[in-house]
Amino acid sequence: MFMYIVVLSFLLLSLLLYALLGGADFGAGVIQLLSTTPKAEKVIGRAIGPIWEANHMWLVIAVVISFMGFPAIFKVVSTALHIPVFILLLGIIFRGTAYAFKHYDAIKDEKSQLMYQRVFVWGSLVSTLFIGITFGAMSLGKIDPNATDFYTGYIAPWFNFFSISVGFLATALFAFLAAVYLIGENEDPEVKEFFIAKAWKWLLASVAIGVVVFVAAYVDGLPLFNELISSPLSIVAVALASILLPFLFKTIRQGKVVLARLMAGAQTVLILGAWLLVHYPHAIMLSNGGSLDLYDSRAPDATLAVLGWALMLGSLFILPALGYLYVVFKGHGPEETI
Amino acid sequence: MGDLLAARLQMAFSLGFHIIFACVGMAMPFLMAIAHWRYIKTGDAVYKDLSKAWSKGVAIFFATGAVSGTVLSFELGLLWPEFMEHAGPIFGMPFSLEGTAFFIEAIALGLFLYGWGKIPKWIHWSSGLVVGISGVASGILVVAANAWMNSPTGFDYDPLTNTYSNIDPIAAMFNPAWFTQALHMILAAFTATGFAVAGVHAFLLIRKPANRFHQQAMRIALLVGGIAAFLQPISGDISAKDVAVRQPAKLAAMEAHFHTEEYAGLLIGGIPNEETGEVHYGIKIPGLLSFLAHGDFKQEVMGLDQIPEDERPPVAVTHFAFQIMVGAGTFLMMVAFLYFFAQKFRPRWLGHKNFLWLVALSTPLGMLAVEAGWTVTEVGRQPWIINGIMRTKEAVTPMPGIQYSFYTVVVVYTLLAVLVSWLMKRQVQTLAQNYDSMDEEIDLSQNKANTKTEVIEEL
Ligand code: HDD
Ligand code: HEM
Ligand code: HEM
Repeated sequence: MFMYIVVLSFLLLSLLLYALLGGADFGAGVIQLLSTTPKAEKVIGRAIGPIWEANHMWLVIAVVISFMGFPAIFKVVSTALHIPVFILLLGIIFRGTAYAFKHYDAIKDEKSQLMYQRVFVWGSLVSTLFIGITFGAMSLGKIDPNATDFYTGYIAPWFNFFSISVGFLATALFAFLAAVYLIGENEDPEVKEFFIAKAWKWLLASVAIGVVVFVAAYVDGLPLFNELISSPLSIVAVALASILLPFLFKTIRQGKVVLARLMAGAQTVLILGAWLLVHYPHAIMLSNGGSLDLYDSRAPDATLAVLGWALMLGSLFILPALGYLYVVFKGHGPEETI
Repeated sequence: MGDLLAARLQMAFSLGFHIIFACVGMAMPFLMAIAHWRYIKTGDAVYKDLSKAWSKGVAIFFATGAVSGTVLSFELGLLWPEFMEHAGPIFGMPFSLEGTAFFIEAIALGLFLYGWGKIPKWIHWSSGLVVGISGVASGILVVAANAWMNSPTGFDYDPLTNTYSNIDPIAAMFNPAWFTQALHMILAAFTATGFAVAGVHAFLLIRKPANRFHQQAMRIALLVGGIAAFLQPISGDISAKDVAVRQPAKLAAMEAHFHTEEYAGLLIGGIPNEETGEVHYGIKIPGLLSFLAHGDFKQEVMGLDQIPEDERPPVAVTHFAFQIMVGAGTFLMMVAFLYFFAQKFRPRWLGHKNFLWLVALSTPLGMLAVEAGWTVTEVGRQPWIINGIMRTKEAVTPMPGIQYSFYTVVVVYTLLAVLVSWLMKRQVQTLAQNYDSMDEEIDLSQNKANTKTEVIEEL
């Protein structure tokens, strides 16, 4: 039981860190969707350059923990949600390579730079959208592992109002996180102003899409609201998230970098936490009203034991090294890349 | 195209793509560390420029390796959900350790690429080395997972109920095949990358034979690739002996060895006919196969006739792939021999056009051998996904239409391959403009100061 908790905590931790760090990195592409400036592009490139590979490792770790620690869940997600996961992968391929190519191309002519930039932005949008769709589909309850026709088996679980609106919610939240993070990455007032404006817009968008998600849940027959108020802890989480909102708007307006980052992080933790509390111990809701539960889907004890140890020992190595990376490049991105 | 075939091809294509970047990711940091170390020791700017120029190229390879690796970790589930449900808890151990290795690698890479002039020089140098060490560690780990598919251990299997019990992930990781396979793979990465890099610089030297930058680059790459190419056949022989015991069907397919016999001959070339069990146009060296497989010329070698018909791997593909690997390996070993000989006794040969052409022509051979070698391992294991336990067709996803995702993967990865090559070409084009030492000729004084300021890269 102890190791089950360790493994589960690491799974949640890596998903959370992926949402916070990787999300900001994906969101950096999304915020350039509507408008961007050369200066802002530069700040974004510098801010995520040294860390993006490390950021996306959280996703890989989450995948490994799922297939080793919770194999039944991994199997159902990769079968029923094959299509959105595959599209997510295409997004990851395109944005990751476009970003690196843009950055390391030896000849920086306008035409190819523009092409990389476009692919990076659209790839980021596709990725964030389909991360959200995948998680939305896991909680909606239209997954039917025994489906016999293609539509109920592989399309209906995710191609619906609710999952898609969760997709847009994730996009907006990631974009918001990125903007808040980037405010502090540069001293130039013009650029700061640019990101402050973006942060405001995407926070507003997140709130609006959040409302749509509730409507969508109602339309698609998911009693999201009732579930949220069924547990005192999730009520507290939602209440805190709402109370934080006006303060968050204010700190962003004032350009208070650290406070805004902390509050934006807290906001994300609260939203994910509420989602988790509503669902625990269910990982996937099925169309027959049942669910796949984390505890029941866990791997044998021997596996959980070694996995738990591997993760604990691994974090002894990773955390200090990661800390050093962030300290070296904190605030002032590298002027001279190689 | 059937879904099973499409899934297998998609897996093969994705892995075949990733492995190239993985090889570069494992070996290239060491080449850079050698150049960087020589720079710190001698202050000779050519080595600094070399290390920087290489690391720019490597950054592009790393990013592509990272995304294609991420795709693979999902594809295991997307294509083989049934396999992953049972195998995940057993063979997942190396993957979970690999996570740590990747992380350290990504962090060290960030420090190395962006650390010029920002962090103390020895920390900077070590971070480059750490990239290489953790790359090799992740290579060993992932191959240990693959080795488990060849020699599954660390669990009890009950075929009647299709259950896996008494799971021991540590025993599964240290399965009987992990060491030979990992050794051979790591050497392969060094051989393939060493010769690929040396070949590119040799090609550029053909036009400017006196250029010091390319001379030094080719030497460092040939040193690393050459040593590995020498050890490669030895390690391959260990692998073959191992396969003979653990997967006799694979060995028989590699050698197109249809009939069990004593004094079995080693087949060179030849076109096997799987219907009739005959081989045309091959040369057989009597007794050698018995010797190579079991260390005894007389010993009987099991042929495909002893394997139930529905458990035989495809013979022709496995055999051709094996021939290609061994052929390429033998050729590279000879080039390496020539290089070391010339280095010691005939230094002038190294600048000779014919030698440079020889090295330039070897550029793709190491990578070709890697692809061929994996084809041997994977196709030679068929029809099993877990040797002797689970068949590949039982593991495949129930989702129809996999051919469309296969086509997509082919198109996307082909596009990426073209782009990466194009970007490399642009790196080479701008060398002279970015690095002052590019103008140095081999006979100039060694410590010419670097006068041109470095081009500061704009995003
Ligand atoms: C530069 C690449 C390279 C070169 C020159 C060679 N190999 Fe190799 N070989 C590989 C790259 C490789 C590989 C891609 O790395 C494989 C695939 C799986 C593995 O563990 O290594 C492999 C597999 C592999 C296997 C199957 C192992 C298994 O299934 O466990 C055998 C028997 C050999 N090799 C034997 C040889 C011999 C006798 C060579 C003599 C010249 C040789 N290889 C050269
Ligand atoms: C024999 C086969 C393989 C070898 C030798 C190998 C080795 C490597 C190496 C050395 C790297 C780091 C270098 C780079 O980023 O370019 C890498 C990256 C990666 N590989 Fe592979 N790999 C193999 C197959 C696989 C498979 C089957 C998976 C997934 C199940 C996988 C997952 C990954 C991931 C996720 C990364 C990205 C790591 C990062 O972000 O730094 N690899 N691989
Ligand atoms: C990177 C080097 C590798 C290459 C080039 C490679 C190549 C291939 C090829 C050619 C196939 C198709 C076999 C066939 O259709 O007959 C295949 C299948 C497969 N490989 Fe590998 N492989 C590599 C490493 C790995 C590793 C490290 C793993 C997992 C840990 C792995 C897992 C699989 C699986 C699950 C299949 C599908 C099932 C099967 O055909 O048996 N491979 N691979």
